[in-house]
Amino acid sequence: MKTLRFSWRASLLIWLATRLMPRERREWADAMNAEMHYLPHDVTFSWAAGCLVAALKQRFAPMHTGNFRINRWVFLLETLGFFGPATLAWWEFAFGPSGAAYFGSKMFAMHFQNLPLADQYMLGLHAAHAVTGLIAPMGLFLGLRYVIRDRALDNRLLGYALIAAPVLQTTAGIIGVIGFGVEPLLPGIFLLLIVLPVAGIVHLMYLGKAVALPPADARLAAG
Amino acid sequence: MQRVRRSSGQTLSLLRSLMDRPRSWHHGYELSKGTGLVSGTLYPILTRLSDRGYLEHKWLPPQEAGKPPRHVYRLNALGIAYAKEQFEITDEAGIEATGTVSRA
Repeated sequence: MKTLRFSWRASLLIWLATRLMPRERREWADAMNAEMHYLPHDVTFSWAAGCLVAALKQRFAPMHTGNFRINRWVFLLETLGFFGPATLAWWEFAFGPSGAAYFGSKMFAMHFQNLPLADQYMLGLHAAHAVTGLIAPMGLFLGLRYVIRDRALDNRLLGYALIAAPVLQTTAGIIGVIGFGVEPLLPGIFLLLIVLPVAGIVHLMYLGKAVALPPADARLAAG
Repeated sequence: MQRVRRSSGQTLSLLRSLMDRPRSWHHGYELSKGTGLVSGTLYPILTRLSDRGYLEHKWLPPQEAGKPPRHVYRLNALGIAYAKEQFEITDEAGIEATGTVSRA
């Protein structure tokens, strides 16, 4: 059976499959790619499409086993989703028209003097968020660093400090709700400003841990 | 006693194909034609069998000029024993390897 050079569509699909295949599985991508050269021309496209599916399965396989070592490009989405909105909120708190910078120096003191205790407390929490909310821009930076340079958060102390800040602020918020009658945060805001950034930092710390390859992958890596 | 897990219909089909000539090397397209599995199903199963230590694979030098080396596969002794065990389980359960069995 005569074999012909495959089409650009098939070439594109097999190229994508090779790129998407995890590094430790590269031999299998090469195998699928090599097999293409021995196929009849009319089946190369469907073969290449299948190879792309196979690569995607390999790419997503770790997610089925509770392994959170996800691909860096998937982590880019997580970074933007987990830290992006919180970074914008932090910017608003710190520099925006209603933020802590606006309340700087005399303005801040004036507002504090004229407000009832609960509002003073609330304002204090807002101002504190200018500091504790740093988890968001720092998380954004660290997340993007991981995506670009494959370097996760390996400084445990920094990780714990970043997590501790919003946890302390949450504790202060709970005290405010119980002790001073301030309005609790809306669940959606709590999720965006506290839960997602903390989850993102925890994930970055997890990715920063050294990993031992399972025996099968170690064999593959060793060739 | 450890319970033996039953493989999927696709895996059984592939095992049968590999067991037709267990000492011969098989390439991907041949296995695909023999089993009716598309590459998107075939390669993940081959990878899984390899990970579990049932499959040997190697690169064959090209038979024709201008073509790359070809990846070929065969079951090792452990894989042959595993295949036989799976066939027994399937025969006992009276299930055909049609791809409708619960996945491994």
